[in-house]
Amino acid sequence: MFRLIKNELVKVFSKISTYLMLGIILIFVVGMSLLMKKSYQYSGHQYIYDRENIQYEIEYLESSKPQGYELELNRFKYMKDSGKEWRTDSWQLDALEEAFLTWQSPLVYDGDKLSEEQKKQYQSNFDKEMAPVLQDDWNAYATQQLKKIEEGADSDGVKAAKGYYYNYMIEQKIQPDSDDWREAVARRVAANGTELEELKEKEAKGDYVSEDNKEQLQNALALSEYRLEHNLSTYMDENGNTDNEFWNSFKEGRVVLTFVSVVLIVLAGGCVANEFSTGTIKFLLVNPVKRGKIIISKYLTLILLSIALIFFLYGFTALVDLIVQKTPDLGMPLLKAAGGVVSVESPWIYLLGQYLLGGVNLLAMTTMAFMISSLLRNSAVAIGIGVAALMGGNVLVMILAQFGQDWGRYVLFANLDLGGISQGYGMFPNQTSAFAIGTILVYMVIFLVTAYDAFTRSEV
Amino acid sequence: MKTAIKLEGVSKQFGKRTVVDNLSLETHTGEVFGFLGPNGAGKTTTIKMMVGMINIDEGNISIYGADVRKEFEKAMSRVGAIVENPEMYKYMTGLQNLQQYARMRKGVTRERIQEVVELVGLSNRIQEKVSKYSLGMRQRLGVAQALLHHPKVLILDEPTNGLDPAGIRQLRDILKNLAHKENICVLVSSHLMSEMQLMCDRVGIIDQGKLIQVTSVEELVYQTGKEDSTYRYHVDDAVGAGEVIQKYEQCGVTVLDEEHLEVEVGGDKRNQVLAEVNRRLIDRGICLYTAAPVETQRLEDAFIELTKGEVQIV
Repeated sequence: MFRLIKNELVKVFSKISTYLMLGIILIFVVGMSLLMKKSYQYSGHQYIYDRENIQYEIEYLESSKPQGYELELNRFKYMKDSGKEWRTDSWQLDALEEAFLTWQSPLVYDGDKLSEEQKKQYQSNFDKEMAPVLQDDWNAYATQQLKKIEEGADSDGVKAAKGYYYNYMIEQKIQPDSDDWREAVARRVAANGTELEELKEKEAKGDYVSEDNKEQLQNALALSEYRLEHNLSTYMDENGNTDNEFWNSFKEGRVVLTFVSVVLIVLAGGCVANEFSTGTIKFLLVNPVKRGKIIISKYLTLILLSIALIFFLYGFTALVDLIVQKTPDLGMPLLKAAGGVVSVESPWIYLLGQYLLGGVNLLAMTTMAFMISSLLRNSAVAIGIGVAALMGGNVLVMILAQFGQDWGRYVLFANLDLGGISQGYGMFPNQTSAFAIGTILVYMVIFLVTAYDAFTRSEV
Repeated sequence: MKTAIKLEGVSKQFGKRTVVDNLSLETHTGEVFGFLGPNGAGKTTTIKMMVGMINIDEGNISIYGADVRKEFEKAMSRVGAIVENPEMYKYMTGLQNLQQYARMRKGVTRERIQEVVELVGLSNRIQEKVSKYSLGMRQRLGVAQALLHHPKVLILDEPTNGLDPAGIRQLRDILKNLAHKENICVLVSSHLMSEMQLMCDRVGIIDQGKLIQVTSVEELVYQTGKEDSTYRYHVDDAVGAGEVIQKYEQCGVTVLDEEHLEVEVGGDKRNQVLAEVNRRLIDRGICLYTAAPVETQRLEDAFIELTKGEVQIV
């Protein structure tokens, strides 16, 4: 059997067309990586409110007067009067918005209900809060915010959560504009923590609290705290999302699998039919080898090539991204949080799994083309149907699902996205991974038995 | 003599048409067996059944006792064959093609491959891609393929197709040598009757799926052939010469045109008769330029007679 497989491999790799197709795969991988790199260059856009911009905003608001524009108008006027420039992602602008919401909003919208005394109080609180902002003094602002939280009416738990951000920033001596990743994470810890504490208080009072929501918050909080604790500037989440350019590009490089599928369909569609069309079948069958062994070895060769190409694509994509993308953080962990506990995995293994999951679709379409090749002895029909199914099968099932044709769940194409189905994104309600795997296996058995039967019985 | 290929009451239908009809046949070790028949007689179909390419509707075929259906691998390990055209993988070299078949058979060494390549005379071109081969070269490669694993039975379907006269002679020598010296049974089908005459020890004649006769070549020629020989004369006056010869009455004569005529002579005293004919012609003052025997394709005549002229219709 090993020698038969070697024969098939020699046939595949003696053809120039094989190398042509492999070359196109390489070009696709490199092209994909370069495209990803280009897309990164567009992100991270900054905007600065200088005098001119502020004036423009004011004129726009005064002329169009959208609902609730008054507060925003006042804010822009304040920014103009301050004589400063305000960057969109600066802590100063955030502080200004915060102060406006807290102190100016009641003055603008509920001014009638307030006494003069109260109005004065609000205004002076506002000025006091803005004083360190206007002087660009972060530490003073943070300390002042902590004091404000401490004097508030919240429970101790909420106070601790709200104050986490400022405490952490002061403690670690981080300037909020320093592009330090910990700043955003600390902010998230504070936000999630506050929300979680409030949920817990609600629960204690006997109100209904969504357990899902609570667990999500717990997990998000645990993740952020884990990152701060272990100093992880980047990571991959359990769905493969990451802001590391190398890893993201590596993950997206998976789409080239579609072209790898086309290559395998071409090989599968030709591997039986071409023997007939070139007449070489007569020399193949005149050997002291049973036909069953020949057809099985042909299929095993296709499986071998599929696995080899998936691994090759995985390795080559990693290599190309390593060269093309900035900051390849090879030791970056994949963090999973469940029940408030964080577990660490390797994104290398996770992505390999993702690439192999994509191979399920590839293998199913390859097997189908193989069957048609053996049954009709016509490579063009086999390749045509195979590629059409690869591209259009999904659409077909989607249409069935949209028209409420529930039997569509038994169609092969509805079950090929195992990754999606395991996460609950199947096209039909209550689709399970077990059902999908079972359906795929049934189809594969039918394909293979048909191919075997057609080949062993055919008269040459 | 041991039985090599044995066919017992073999029949094959394509749809309603019976292509091979209750055919029984035995071939022996150490002989070259010719399988003769007009196109569509069922030669290739029978050969395909022998090597398991198509199903056998009725009857049995065995090779050295191994049933082709029940013990396919055992039977085929003793068979080397070319069926129909020698189609090889065109994108590979001749050597790579042979390596393909070597991997599918037991005990074929690198030296053996080299040996058969030399035997069929392809050594110079074996590293070239088959797409550059002529039909004759592909035929040789096909023979090399069939010989790779020291088969005890060699089945060749029209092996002289595309070979030049030198190639045909070479192949004839190879096959005769294999049969007579290495004790292989060689089964050859062909349309070239004159070739069969020179190549085969025995012939089986098949027509419309039925085996008509199995005999040795000599027997076949003797049995049906006339003992007459024909000589073509080139003279200055064919009509005059014709009259002279007709009067002699020992031989038949046909005037072809003004300068040519054919003379048929029979019997044991052929040479005396011819000498007498020549003497009389010269006595009558007829200029005799040349006289040469006309090559008779004896086997072909015998064959056409046996198959009632089917060859000409096809």
